Amino acid sequence: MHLNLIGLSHHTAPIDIRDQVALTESVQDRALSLLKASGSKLLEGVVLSTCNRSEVYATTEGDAPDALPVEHLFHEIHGLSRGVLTPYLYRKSDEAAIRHLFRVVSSLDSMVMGEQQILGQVKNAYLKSLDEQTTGVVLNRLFERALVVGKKVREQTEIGVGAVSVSSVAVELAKKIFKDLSQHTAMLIGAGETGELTARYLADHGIRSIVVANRTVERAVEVANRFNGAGVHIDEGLQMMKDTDIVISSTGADHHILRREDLAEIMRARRNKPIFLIDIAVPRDIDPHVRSVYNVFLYDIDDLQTVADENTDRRKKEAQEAEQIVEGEVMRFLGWYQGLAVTPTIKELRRQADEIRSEELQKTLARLEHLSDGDRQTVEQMSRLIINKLLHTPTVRLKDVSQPGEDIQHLSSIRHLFGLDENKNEGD
Amino acid sequence: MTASLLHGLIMVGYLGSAVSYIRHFPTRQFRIGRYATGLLLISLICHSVLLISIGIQSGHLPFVGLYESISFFTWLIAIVYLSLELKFRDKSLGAFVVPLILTAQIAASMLIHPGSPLPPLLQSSWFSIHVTASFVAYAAFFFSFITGILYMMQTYYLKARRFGVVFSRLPALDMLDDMNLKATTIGWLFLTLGMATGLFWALQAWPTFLWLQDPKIVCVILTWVIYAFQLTARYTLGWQGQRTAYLATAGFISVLFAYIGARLWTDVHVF
Repeated sequence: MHLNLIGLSHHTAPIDIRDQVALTESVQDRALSLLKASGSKLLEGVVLSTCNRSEVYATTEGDAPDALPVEHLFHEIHGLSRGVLTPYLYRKSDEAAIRHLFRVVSSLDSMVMGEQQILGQVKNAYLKSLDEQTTGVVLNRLFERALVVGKKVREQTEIGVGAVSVSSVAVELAKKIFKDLSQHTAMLIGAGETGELTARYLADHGIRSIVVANRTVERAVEVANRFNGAGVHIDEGLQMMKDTDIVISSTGADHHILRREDLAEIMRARRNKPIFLIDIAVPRDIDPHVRSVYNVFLYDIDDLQTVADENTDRRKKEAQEAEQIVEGEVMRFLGWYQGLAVTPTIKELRRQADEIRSEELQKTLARLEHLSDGDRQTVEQMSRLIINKLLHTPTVRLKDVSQPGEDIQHLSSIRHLFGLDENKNEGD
Repeated sequence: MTASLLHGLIMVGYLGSAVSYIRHFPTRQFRIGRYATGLLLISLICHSVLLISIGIQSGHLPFVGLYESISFFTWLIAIVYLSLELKFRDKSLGAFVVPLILTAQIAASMLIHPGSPLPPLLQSSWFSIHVTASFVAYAAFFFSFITGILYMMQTYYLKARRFGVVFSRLPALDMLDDMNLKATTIGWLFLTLGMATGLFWALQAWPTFLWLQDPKIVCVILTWVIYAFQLTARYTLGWQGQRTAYLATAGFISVLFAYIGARLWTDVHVF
């Protein structure tokens, strides 16, 4: 029995390929039914699909890892001919596959290191397979352990701490001023990708309402519709600012649209309640001197970028620690995984020896009918002692093989040497 | 014997808790946070037992003499802190408060405590309410002071755009402000109660007492006025944040004068 992994990710495949293989819910269900129908070669399987990766974990029977049926399934799932995906695939087995999954679930393999979603995505992929009963002893244990590893890495390192993009830094800062965003309102002035993204993040974090202000009302309404906001003309927007707690400004204006005097007036109107201004326009929309106004907190794109860069650096440092945790967990899991391969062999070896022993004992005793019961027992005792002593060292060595770092290939040598697989085939 | 054992336990407990809170502040490790709160809770239980046993032995509430009064005060602060932590689900204040509890407890234990019986004059239930209410008020003002200081720190970091470890661990501005408002309100209500009962009791016990010659009473009245102003400004003028944080600091300095300073100038009003 061996663990095989076939997959592709942002490391190996360009975006247009990843788009083609990203699985929707229904395709994922189909994948699992294909897996069930794939016959006896695949013992267990889990299909993991996110925007940036598509992977199949499966166990196969036999002495060596067998990627072929898994690869076949992979192509079948995506309904693409072999040639299209093959250049982008990676194939891993056993220890490498375990390490891969543990790194994936810890977000060490993610596009944005430390991102949170992957843990939930792995969990869902596993639960789905569990529901469909395509998992068994090995993958159950592997994925349950993987989820623990993912949690452990996030608890014991700061790999997920600190926002790493301009828009998420903005939201993180907003939450340092306003604990509960659902009590507060936001306004997006102008349009532009980063501005919209920031507004979307605020919406995701439960902001009470978002107003979009633009020079053309139609454009404002169009953008606002994307997060259930209202679209207004920019002049009206400036009027509404006294009731707005968070302002994101990203117009193409070549002058300051908010000056110190404007803010002083707005703050009087809002009775000095704190206001959070994010200026992501270049050139800037908001006069930096507004910082001197009481309870005005202004950040421009450079401030946000600096924080994002610092956080990225810190995550990289934390990643080293995370790698160590993962490595320790891989070794621990291998202890169990290789033991799993060894235990049946030990049992078979003992059974084979015992069969030979009792067969020969019967023959011998049939010819020695003059022996007393006591003597017969002594002979039988001796036969047991011989096989115990003979098998003692091979058993110990086999158990050693299951230790991490030992070469699991010794296992097949031993099976070959004792002809275990031949016996089994005869038995079948 | 049991008392000193309990006392030792309390010290070790607060020490462990303080260390854990400080460790938890930059690392935010779930496990350490649980130790911190758990140890604080255990110490608090031991502390309660100690205070009750002192009370039973001496036959009065445990705030006679500097040792008992400081010990009682830290006990109250620990209770208020723990309830704030559970209410706001935030442990970051603990890194500031619990070390102060520990320091106060160490300071208290260095003072010899005679365990003298209460003078007959003070054996009145009015008096007990007066002292208890005043202590609760002081403990609450301590929190309004701490949250005010943290508010000012956080504002400084936000304005100066310095986003270090302390910044990232402190709670949001409006949460600190909310804590500050709650602590101030509770403190002011209890101070009012304490002053009213004190007045009532003193009128009975001491008809000839010269009020304004007692520096402590002057300090307390000043304190009351500062906090009353803070609450009024909040509710009518919409003051919040940094301005109220300044007022909370001023109020607490006044509390310190009332609590410790006045002790140096008068021997009548020793609490």
